[in-house]
Amino acid sequence: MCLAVPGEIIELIGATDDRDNEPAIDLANGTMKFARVKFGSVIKKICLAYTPEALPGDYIIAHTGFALQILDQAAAEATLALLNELPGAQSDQGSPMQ
Amino acid sequence: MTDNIDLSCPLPGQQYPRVVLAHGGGGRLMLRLIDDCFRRAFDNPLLNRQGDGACFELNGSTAMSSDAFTVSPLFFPGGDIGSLAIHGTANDLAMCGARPRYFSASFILEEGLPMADLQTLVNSMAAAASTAGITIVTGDTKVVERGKCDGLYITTTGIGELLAGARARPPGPEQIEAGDCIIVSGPVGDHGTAIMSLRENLAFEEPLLSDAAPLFPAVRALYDADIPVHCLRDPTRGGLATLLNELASGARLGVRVAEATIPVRPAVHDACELLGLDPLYVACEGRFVAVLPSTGATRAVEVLKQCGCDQAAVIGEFNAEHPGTVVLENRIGGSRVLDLLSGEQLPRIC
Amino acid sequence: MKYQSEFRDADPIQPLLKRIADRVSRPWTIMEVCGGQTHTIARYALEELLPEQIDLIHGPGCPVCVTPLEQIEAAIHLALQPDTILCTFGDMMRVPGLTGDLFDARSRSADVRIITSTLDALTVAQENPEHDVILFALGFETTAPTTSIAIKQSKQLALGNFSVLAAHVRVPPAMELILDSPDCRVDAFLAAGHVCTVTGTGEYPPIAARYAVPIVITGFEPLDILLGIDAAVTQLEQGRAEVDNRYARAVQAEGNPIARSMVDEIFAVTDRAWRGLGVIAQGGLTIRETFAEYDATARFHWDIGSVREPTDCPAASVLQGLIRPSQCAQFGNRCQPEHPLGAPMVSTEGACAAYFRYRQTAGPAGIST
Repeated sequence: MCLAVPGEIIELIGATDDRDNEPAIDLANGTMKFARVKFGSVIKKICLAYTPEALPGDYIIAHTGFALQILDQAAAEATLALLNELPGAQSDQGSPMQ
Repeated sequence: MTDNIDLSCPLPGQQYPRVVLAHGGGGRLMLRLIDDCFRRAFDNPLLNRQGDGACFELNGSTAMSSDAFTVSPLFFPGGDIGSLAIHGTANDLAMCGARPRYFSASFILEEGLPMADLQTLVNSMAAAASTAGITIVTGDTKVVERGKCDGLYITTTGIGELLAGARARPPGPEQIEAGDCIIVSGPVGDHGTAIMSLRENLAFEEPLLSDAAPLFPAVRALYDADIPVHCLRDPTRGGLATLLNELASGARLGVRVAEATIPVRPAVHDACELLGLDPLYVACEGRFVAVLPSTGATRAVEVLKQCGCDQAAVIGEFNAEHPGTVVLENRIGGSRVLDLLSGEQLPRIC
Repeated sequence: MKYQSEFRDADPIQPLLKRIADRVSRPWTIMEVCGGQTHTIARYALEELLPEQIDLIHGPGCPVCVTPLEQIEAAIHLALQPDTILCTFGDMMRVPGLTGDLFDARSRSADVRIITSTLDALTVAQENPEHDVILFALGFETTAPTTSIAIKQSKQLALGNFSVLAAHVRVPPAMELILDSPDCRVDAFLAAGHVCTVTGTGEYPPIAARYAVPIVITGFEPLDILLGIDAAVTQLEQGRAEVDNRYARAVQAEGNPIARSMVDEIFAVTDRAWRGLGVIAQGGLTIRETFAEYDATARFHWDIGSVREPTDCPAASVLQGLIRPSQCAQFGNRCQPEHPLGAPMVSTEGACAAYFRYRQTAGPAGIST
């Protein structure tokens, strides 16, 4: 369940951005933000309603077109550091499984 | 001589910007459409004879194939339904080891289809045919009411001439032997991903194009190099994994492929990731799988690379261990069965 | 840092497996309750790499599979009404109701549209003002906020033709149901990481304490799964039963407060039947009265009669991890993804479907499951 994918915010899309022919969404508590997010080499428009403080350069995790959370780089690095400390974990290059 | 008295509506010479029902009605409008749109683009002596059918000579053994094309949207990055209608059937002939020669093209047009779109698509067909040395010699046109088809549907039937090597040993699953290697001509999943990305509003850093392209040149190169080809097939709907299952079943042998060796473009991988799809099940339109004795593998890959298939690769082999089953080895030493899906892969959220 | 490829790096796999193997001193049964995790475990064949003493069992982690039959029948019924468009995620299209699925309904002229976001359903409603547009809203707590937004936005835009058939379910009550069973074999849980991204971890400490089970918040990449298992084994070997967040890059203790408050605004917690498991107290979400005009169950009335599942499927036992899919007599013959007999075979994330699709070969002897 919950297919959610990490991506990098490239730019915010303003309410008056006319590149997309879609109305900006207004909620009672303000305009809902969108952003163009890069997932590897794919770029998709993602709603930032739950992460309104997110900025270009931030990484978010997206589910069904919404950013659920801004990813915590320090936490990610700490996890990777733990993995790299395992005996035998390091090699000359990482070999991703994809 | 009696003059023909025209009792029909006195507004004949109209140029409609869109297809109307009368364009399929068998009268003047239809004849004008055929002349101005189809004949002008496909222009060749056989077609220009305007017979109910076309007569021609063929050398030696022949192959025939037919396919209907219903792709939506009609235009996509890297091609359109017109060029696809040529490549698709031509590639089926190539998979028989045959050079595509003569084609028929049947069109079902939706009332309301813009003429400009139709002309663009027909021109695209003509260009694809010309590049591939194919002559479109006969065809048909029907018009259906608005809503009864998706813009247009095209059916092409092609006739080709078997290469000598294919005549001697027609490629097919029954030729496959345990120990044969499996070679793919290039990265998989481009076409289906390009189409899906349009529907899902995915953009790319570098445009992802459909891989629709003619396969006969690469096939001819293999035969010219005397590679002992056992089977040729192109993965279309259902992608590589479905094709491997069909071959395993047809050959009554097992298939083992290594995930690390199957070429997939990063853009395809990333788009599939977002949509929850597996690239191994996504359609291609310009790739093929060649099955041949493993002793010929290196040479075959060399030959393919020389004709532009620069990511051609050996991805696995047939065995007698688990007939009918396709096994994929992953990069960490585990393996799993690659099964047939019950239908088209759908984007998922779970 | 790309947050994905690093967690699929093959290099740490063997060392991590070795550490797990070194720590394990006796058999342990670990359950994951998220179809996405089932998917990763199956796709990367992680089970065959783990020490034999570790038994991974797949819990009811597929919200599509556990959607009650009544709601599927309701969706099909609504879709078949004239001037009605049903929007749903692709996952639901092949889930069988009593007599067919949504694809079958389409062939009987239902207008069913596959969407990848709840915002797509709003677009359909805006483009088809003369039609009733119904969003069949499924998913765990991860997806519920997106349904909330769709309802709030629909109110904002005064879309009178939009409503929601709400089928969201909640994970912690299902975990408690499993733990309440006298036959429960589960020693530790891997908790659904993306659910916790939204809800936070607050519901788990009472469960860990009451049932004395470690609960490890786990992610979805192969390394995440192994890290989760490693953390669970560590606690089990040390006799601890705590909540441990191993997906800290995406999960904060308080979750996403904005998303949570949006869900609370629109939805109330309710008892809900999970297909194959029966009614789970507080197991689902229902639209609050104040938003009744967007609730398809309030706007439309239908009577689908009594709805009973065929009894051949031991779904309850499979979903609670009491039996393996391969231990079911129908598995692989009468019951396959093509013609599922019950909930766990229904979608690719269902426990039985995952086993079936990703089964390993046993070498020359053939397929083993």
